[in-house]
Parts: sequence; C-alpha cells; structure tokens
Amino acid sequence: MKKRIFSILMALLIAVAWAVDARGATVLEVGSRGSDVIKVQNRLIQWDYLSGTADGRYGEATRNAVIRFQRNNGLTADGRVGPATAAAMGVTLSGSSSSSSASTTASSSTSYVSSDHRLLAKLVYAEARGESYKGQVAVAAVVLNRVSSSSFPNTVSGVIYQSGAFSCVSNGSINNTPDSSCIRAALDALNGWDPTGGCLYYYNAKTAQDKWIFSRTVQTVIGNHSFAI
Amino acid sequence: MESLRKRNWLGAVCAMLAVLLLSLAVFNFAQSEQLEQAQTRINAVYQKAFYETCELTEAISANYRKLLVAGDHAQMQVLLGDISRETQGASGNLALLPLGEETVSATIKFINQAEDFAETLSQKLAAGEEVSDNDYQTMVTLSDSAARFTLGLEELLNRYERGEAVFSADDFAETGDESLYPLTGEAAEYPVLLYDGPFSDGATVGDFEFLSAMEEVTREQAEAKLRAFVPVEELTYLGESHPEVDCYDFRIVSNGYSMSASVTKMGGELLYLLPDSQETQVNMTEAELCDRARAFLISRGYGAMEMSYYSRYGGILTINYAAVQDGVILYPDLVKIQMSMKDGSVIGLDAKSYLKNHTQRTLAQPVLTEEEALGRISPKLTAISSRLCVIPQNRAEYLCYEISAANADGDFLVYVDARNGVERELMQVISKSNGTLVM
Repeated sequence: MKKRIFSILMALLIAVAWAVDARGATVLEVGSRGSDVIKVQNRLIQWDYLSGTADGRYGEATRNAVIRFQRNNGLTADGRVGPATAAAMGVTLSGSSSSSSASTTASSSTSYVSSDHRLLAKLVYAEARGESYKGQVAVAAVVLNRVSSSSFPNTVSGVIYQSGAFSCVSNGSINNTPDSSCIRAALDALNGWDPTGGCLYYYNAKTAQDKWIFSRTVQTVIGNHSFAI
Repeated sequence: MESLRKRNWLGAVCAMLAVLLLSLAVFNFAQSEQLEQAQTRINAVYQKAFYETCELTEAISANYRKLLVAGDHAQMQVLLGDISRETQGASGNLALLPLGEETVSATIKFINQAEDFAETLSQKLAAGEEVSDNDYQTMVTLSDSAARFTLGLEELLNRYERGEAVFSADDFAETGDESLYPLTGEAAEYPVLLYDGPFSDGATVGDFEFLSAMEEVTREQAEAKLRAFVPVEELTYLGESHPEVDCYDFRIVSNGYSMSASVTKMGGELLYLLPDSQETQVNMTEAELCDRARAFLISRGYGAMEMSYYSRYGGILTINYAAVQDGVILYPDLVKIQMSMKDGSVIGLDAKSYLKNHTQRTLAQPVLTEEEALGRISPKLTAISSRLCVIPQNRAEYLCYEISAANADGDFLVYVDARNGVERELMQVISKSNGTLVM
C-alpha cells in the first residue's frame, strides 16, 4: 500500500471530536483534555500542587491545584489556565489561538496546508487558470489520481515533475504565483473532490498534438479539457 | 579639410563597429558557454537519476532474494523496510529521466508493485499473520523480474558509458522503443501479480455499494431530486458525464451561489456539489455551522452522522461527517459538506465515499474489552477516551477501538483492532488555525 497517500486520506477522513472541541480554546478549564493539560499537570506535580500522575483530563483536582498555584503567584485565582497562568508556569499552549467569534471579515487567508498543496496550486494555476472552478479542481484531482495510481510516481512532486508530463514544467509557467481560486481548488481536490471520477489524463482536444492521447477513453469534458483514463 | 573631417568620422564609425562586433562575439561566446554549462548540469541530473535507478534496482533484486531465505519475521521486516525505501527512490529517479510519462509507466508500475507487495506483506507480518505459499510465489516472481530488469539496465548503462546518446534533453523515446529496453518495455513484459495489495489498478474503481440496488432515474427526476436537496433559483442542464458512475451534470444557482452539481443516474443521488466562487465574509461561528450541517445531512436522509473533522478556507467551512451504526463510527462512509460562513448556505458536498461504501454492516462483537484495548497502547501515552469505529485499510475494513491519547509532546489517535489487539494505525493530531490535521 502506498502508505503516504493512505495517511493523507486518513488525515482527511479521521480526527476526533475532542480534538476539534479543544480547538479555538486557548484557555484550559474543567473539561479540557489533551497534551496541553498534561503539560500543565506535569508542572503542578513537579511543584507539589498536585499528586498522582498526569492523565490529560482537567478535573476538579487539577482546578484546585491551579487555584493554589495562581494564589501563590499573584494571579487571578479563577482555576483556569489562560495565557498569563501558562506563562507563569512556563508552559506553551499548543491549542489554536484563533478566536471563533462571529461578525469578523475573514482575512484573505491564502494559507497552504502543506507543501503538496502549494505545488498543486501552482500547477492548477499554470494549467487551468482560465477554466471554471470545477475544471480547476478536476486538473488537481488528475494529479492526485496519478499519485495513487501504480503507473505513476508516488508523490505530488514526483508526478508534477515527471519528465514530459506537464508542459508548464518545461516552459517554466509553473513558477508563477497562483491566485486564490487555484489554491482553493487544490485544497478541495486534496479533500477528496474529484469531478473526473479517477481520471489520469487530460488534454485540450483543440490543441493536443500527441496522437497517443486520443486513444484514451474520455470520461468527462469540462471546459477546454477532456478527462480520460 | 572637409574630406579629412569626413575620413576621421568614418574611421570613428568603423572603430565603433569593430568594438561592437568584438563585444558581441565575446558576449555570444559567454552565452554559449553558459548554455553549455546548463546543459552539462542537466545531464548530470539525468546521470545521477540513471545511476541511482540502477543501484536501487540491484538492491531491490538482492533484497527480494534474501527475503526468500530470511529466518524470522523480524529479519523479514528489516528487508521489507529496505525494499520500500529502495522502490520509492527508484520510481522517483525513473520519473526524472527524459523518457516521457507513457514510456516509463510500465516500468514505474513494476517498481510500485514491488513496493506495494513489500508494504502489504510488512503489515501482514505486523498483524502476526504467516507468510503464505502465494506470498512466496510472488516473491520469487518479483526477485526474478527485478534481476532481469537489473541486467537490462546494466546493458543500457554500458552503452551510456561508451558515449552513446541514450538520453538527451530534447527527444523522448517512444513506448516499446527496443533500444532502450528495459526502461521502455510494454506492461506485458512484467508479471501480473496476484496479491491483496490495494493499489492494483482496480483499487480506485470500487463499486458504488449504496447505489447497487437502486433504480435508474430520468434527467427530470434527477433534477427534481437536486431541487429537493438545495433551494434552486436557476438551473441549467449540462449533459451526461461518467466520473466512475453515470451522472447528469447541472449548473445551479442556490441562495445566490453558483455551483456545479452531478447527480447519479442510478438512484438520483447527489454525487458532488462544487461552489464556483470564493466566499470571504464570516458572520457565523464554526460551532453554529457544524450543528447546522449535521441537521441538514440528517434531514436529507443520510441517517446518523458524527462530525470527524473540519477545516476552514476564507469564508468556507469544510466539514467531514461519518455515518454511525449502533454507536460505531463508520469512517469509510464519509460525507464532506461545505458551508458558507457568511449565511450558512450549503455550497459544496462530496458524497462519493458514502455512496461507495454505505451499507448496513454486520458488526462483529469486539473480542477485546475496552480495558484490554487501552492496555495495548504504548506506555508512553496516556489514554483519554476511546470509542468503537470501523476504519478502511488495504481495501478491507477493521473494527477498532479509536483511542484518544496524549503525552506532553502532543495528541494522538491510536487504532487498536478490536478482534486481535493489533495496532492498525497511529496518528498525531495537529491543531492549526484553519483546522485540525491528522498525520
């Protein structure tokens, strides 16, 4: 099994509710769970505020220990670990710092989730920037279908930089900066959207010169591109 | 006087021209030198890729031979690990050679098969299973093929070293070009391997289980189903397509959002929705939207669903929901839904996994108790909670305890097989500002 791809898939498939719950909460309080709680508990145990072992669950015992720690250190004794208390403990909370408050206009977030995502977005921009959004997702999906096919290299970069595979690599247009639509299209393809249904090839029927490509079975046509297996 | 001045002027022009010509010549020479240097550098990359391919296939061949005589499972695991690493390197290097994608696809396929087999066998051994006669047969075939492949490569290498232009930057070899055997061999040259590897070509072409017993619908019925799914202000029929399953394609405007939609012919189920435009406004919270999406899916007949993951891009929230049966999370039966954070409209959906896999499962009783499963995880981790789930692996499904665990370094998910206690999967949960990633 191509393990990497599998883990990408699993990554997109699986996560748990508690991990999601913990998100957005930079403050630890009763009910919090996970590695941040373990870090805090380790400190409390080290300084004798808490006995036993760190179990990653923020219960009453942890709360009482935190209150004692806060009193001794001149902090507001509310039994919750926010930035000030965490700093006093010398603990860095890993939980996301994003606030989930409403009524904000999102910054034009063009963040990439991985280096695969970045390269894929560049390819989509070079190959399909004039296409509809669906056509852009489809081009990204073809790359990912190749990654999981046994007839192609096993990584996104391996597929994109395979000799002769994409003209944008030989003419250098892959080095341009993608726009936000292409970045999103690459992300949706990584998330599993595939309007081509597993296609491995696409070509522009008007301009394609390679006769061989016409021998492939076309499954769907989106904009200027024919998608084939 | 006049003519003297003219002659002086002519002389100056001639001198300037001469200087210009000379500098052009020098410039040109420097240019061609640069070009040559660049070409040399590119050739060096090809050479490296070629030598490394040779080196790695020799090692693959040798390791498969050793595998046939390895004494115990631990030793086999070491060899299989080496093979995986070598095959990965070989396919990456092969792809770099200037031979064209269709030319080397058969070769890459062979290398990938060698890799798939090694990883599948490795997982089998890790699960405590024995090596079957079929496995040994496959090992023999693979080691023979790898040996033949190595010989062919050596021959090619000899020619290359004698100065033959085996690879050049500007021309691509044709599939079946005999002079470049074995790199350009047809697929038929390599054995068809029979093993349970997930990346045999059929792997991505699974059946649509959920649709199997359904009736074919007309275009009008499909349209009506789509209109019942989301509010539709405008609708254009685009034609039929075949993304793995026969579909009717539409373009719609729903709640002011323009989207593409595909509805399956069998059963008239929505396969996917894709929003055309970007949304950047955010008026609603992630929690609000997650609740709303879940209620939406249940109201559209997807049955019990549990959220498993969400991520955010601009003003679009993408949320994954997995089906639930008797309290067990069915990770293969996944629906991904996209919500506008501006007004909570449904603007995207991907139901492929659900339509492919969703069916009433006969869930076996777990052999291990929850307590026993918790005892299987590494003593370096502290278990926090656990629940039963079904996970997909190697085209099969396994009933597992999904154990949330943590240590001071981070949060993890451990999947312990509820039947035999094997640790099927281990993932690290990484919280990012735009979602939770699992690696």
